[in-house]
Amino acid sequence: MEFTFQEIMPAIAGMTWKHLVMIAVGCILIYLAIKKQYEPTLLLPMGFGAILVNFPFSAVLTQVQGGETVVGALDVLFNAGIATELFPLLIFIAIGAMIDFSPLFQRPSLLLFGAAAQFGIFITMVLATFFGFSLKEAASIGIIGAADGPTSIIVANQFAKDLLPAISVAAYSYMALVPIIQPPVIRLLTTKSERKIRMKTDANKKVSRTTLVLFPIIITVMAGLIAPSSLALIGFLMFGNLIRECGVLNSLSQTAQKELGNLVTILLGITIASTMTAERFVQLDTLMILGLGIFAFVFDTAGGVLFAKLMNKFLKPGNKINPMVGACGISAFPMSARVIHGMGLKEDPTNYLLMPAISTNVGGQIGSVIVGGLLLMLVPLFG
Amino acid sequence: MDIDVLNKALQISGIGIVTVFLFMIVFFFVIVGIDKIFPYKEEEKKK
Repeated sequence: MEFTFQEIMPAIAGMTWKHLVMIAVGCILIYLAIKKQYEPTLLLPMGFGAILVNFPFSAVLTQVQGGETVVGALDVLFNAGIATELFPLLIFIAIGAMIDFSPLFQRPSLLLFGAAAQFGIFITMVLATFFGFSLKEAASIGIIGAADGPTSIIVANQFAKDLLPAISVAAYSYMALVPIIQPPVIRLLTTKSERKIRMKTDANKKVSRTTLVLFPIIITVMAGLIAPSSLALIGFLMFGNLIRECGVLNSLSQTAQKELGNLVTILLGITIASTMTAERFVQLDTLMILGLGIFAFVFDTAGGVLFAKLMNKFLKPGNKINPMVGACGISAFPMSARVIHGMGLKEDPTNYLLMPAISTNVGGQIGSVIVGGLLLMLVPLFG
Repeated sequence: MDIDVLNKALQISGIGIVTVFLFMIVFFFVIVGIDKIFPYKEEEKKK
């Protein structure tokens, strides 16, 4: 009995340069996760998953063998967790349980930056249509600028399934690159004296438990009334927060923050990677999406900074806002706040911007989820 | 490039950015309101 090389070594025989590129991409993601510690909880599973799925006839993906369909494990996970949007929504419960909204009560006006710093999403959406992307694809690409992985996955999953791998990789990679992307944009748009502005915040202000319990409930009701399409996103986020703040579910809150968050993160990362196959990923569109994603991120940062400068025109001296804080209106929490705090200390070692930066960053988390919900509502209306 | 798609994207952007600001303004008043109605009291600390 004779066998061909293709029958004995199907993976090696079927390997193309595209597969090798994707395996290299997987290795780079793992390198960034371990060596640079860029969002390692997601980049590492994604990197390893990218390697797993880029061997021809890989058993982790569904294959047809001898006329029979053998379902792959990662396809099972994808259909169960991403196609149904279960994993991103469970992540929102974990994130909600981790967020302390009380910094927002110290200076609630900072919440507005959570809206201003979503500017890049919309301008990128318009730009993407220039490059020939459909309205739904453009909206999915724009949302990368939110720096909010789960929201990006949900929007892309509903509007542009084919672009999901590139969009999710871009969203999570750029979240990790906040310390590299934001500072040059901020420096370009601000003067040295603006970066030294000290902000007045009531760091000792305490918030009652009743307020913290009512906050997630009222926000959910408001979101439900104004934009019901955002309820899945904001509802799960606020549900997680209610578990945290109610004071009678400490064990559940801890589980949501740790076990649930960790478990879903592991599954989310490796499951997203199931879409990172050479056939789907090595395309010109992927490069364009990665480029547009950076553009969205840069203009989100610029939106926040410029809005702070605009607000300063109307604020009294002593109440001015450090424009750098505006950049925290993106969703990358708490990394963006830490970066801005660090930049503030570099300009003036006695200027502590951490509290207003955290308040703004929390507002950014709410803002990105709202924009995700709005896009899910508006785009189908416009067809 | 499809002008019709571009037009729609511009309209969605306009509506989207205004609506997200409206949301935030509503949330701002929610925060100020509930903080005024249920202020922090020292007894809570003792509890």
